[in-house]
Amino acid sequence: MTALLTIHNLSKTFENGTAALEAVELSVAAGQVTTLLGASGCGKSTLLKIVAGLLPMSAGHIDWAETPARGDIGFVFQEPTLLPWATVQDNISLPFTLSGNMAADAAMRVREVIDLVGLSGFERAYPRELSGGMKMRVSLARALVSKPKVLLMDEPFAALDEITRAKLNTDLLQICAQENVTVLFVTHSVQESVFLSDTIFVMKPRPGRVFAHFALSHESQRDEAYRLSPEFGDKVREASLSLKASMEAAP
Amino acid sequence: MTQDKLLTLAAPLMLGVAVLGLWEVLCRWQEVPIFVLPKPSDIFLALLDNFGSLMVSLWATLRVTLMAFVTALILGGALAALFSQSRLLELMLYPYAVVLQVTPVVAIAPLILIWVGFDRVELALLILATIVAFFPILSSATLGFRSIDPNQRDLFRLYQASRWQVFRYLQFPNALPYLLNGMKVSAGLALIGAVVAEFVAGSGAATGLAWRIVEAGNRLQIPKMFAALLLLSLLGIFLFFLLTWLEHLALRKWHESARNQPN
Repeated sequence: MTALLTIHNLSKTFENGTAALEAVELSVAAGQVTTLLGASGCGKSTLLKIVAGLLPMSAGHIDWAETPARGDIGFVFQEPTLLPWATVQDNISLPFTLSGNMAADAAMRVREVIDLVGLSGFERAYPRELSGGMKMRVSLARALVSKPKVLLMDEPFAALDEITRAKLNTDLLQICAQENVTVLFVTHSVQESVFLSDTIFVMKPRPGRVFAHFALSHESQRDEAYRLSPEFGDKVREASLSLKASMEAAP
Repeated sequence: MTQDKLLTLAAPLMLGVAVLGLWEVLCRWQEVPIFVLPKPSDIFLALLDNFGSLMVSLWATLRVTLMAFVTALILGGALAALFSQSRLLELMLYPYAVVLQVTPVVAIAPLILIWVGFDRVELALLILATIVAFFPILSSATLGFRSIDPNQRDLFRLYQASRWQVFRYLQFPNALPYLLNGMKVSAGLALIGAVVAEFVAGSGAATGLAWRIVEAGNRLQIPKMFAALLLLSLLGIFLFFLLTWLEHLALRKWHESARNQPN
């Protein structure tokens, strides 16, 4: 499996002296879902922002298989981060608006992703009229509209209820397969990481480091029934133990 | 119209009518002299008798108020936009804007009048009213341009938005609710500024409602004073509703403040 990006020896110390990340090594395989699993404060979000180029790193480097251009990185924030004054359609078009792409194929692509995330019929709605789950779908569609090579997701479903979250997890897998996009996903939920991932990196806090990583091969179709299967249970147990060990390990 | 809306309209109206009625009755019964407190009917008659000249004055005051408001909106908005682009400029200029704001307009008025010249009183009035109306626009717009969600800023950075794009698609729409609120305050202040400035100018060249009040006061035409005062209040109320309506038009679709029912 070829790596889309590899992170070498990456460290981040904030101006106030807080060491957020220390000597992080990890790679994200092309076409896969990779999650960073860890407790709050282990620098997962910081790492994601560094990968997106939104924060500078203090040391280390990131090797990209292909240097990302504008629109090659999609980012889904913890909050939907929609423009409240713009309709669903205009929010999703934002990446095209900013790149000056007003062509007909851009408009077609916007319609395509609206269908993809299941928001047909809500094109003209304003964010305040949408539920939390639907807002997150808009946010996902916006991140996908520019056909990114990698989708960075920062605990996107953490604020949603369990049922909505499970539904979005299932849909996300389908969407990623359809769009053939690589995903780097940050979460503190073991279930979510196991359900979504091909590879999990368990991180330990203060300063954030990679504690363990393991690959998962899902033998059955990942749907709602899969969540209740012994196979899923075993994998969750394994990841939980690793997460527990990461918290107890000596700093 | 719902019952609730009807009540919102009817309740203050009922009180107003009751107070006016009581006022009329008490004045008649106690035979209060007209130069102390005229009856509402006297005021109404004075309004009719002087309708022509009062309307000319109303228009003069309205003109100065609107021009001052628009000037303040353009200047304040432009300056706030500049502040949003340059922190240095903001640090340099903001304190002086505050100085202008806290200095009572009555105190600067004579100076401005001398500078502008007594033959151009309307320009002096315009400048003074603008000074008063300017600050709420500047401060509200500055706050609005600056109150950007860090994630939204990151989002625009991710797509390599230019400064202009950040301003056009993020900062400006974000500032709109703040700006509209500032405009409501500013319009009221523009009227106050126009009236105060005219009082200070105090020359025959000024023809606004404030001057009518001074003039009528000097001649002890108390009902006419009340009539001019009534027109001034109506003007203020008109401006307030005009801007509230504008705010509603601009924000009703997306802003939380424009929601009809909480849910």
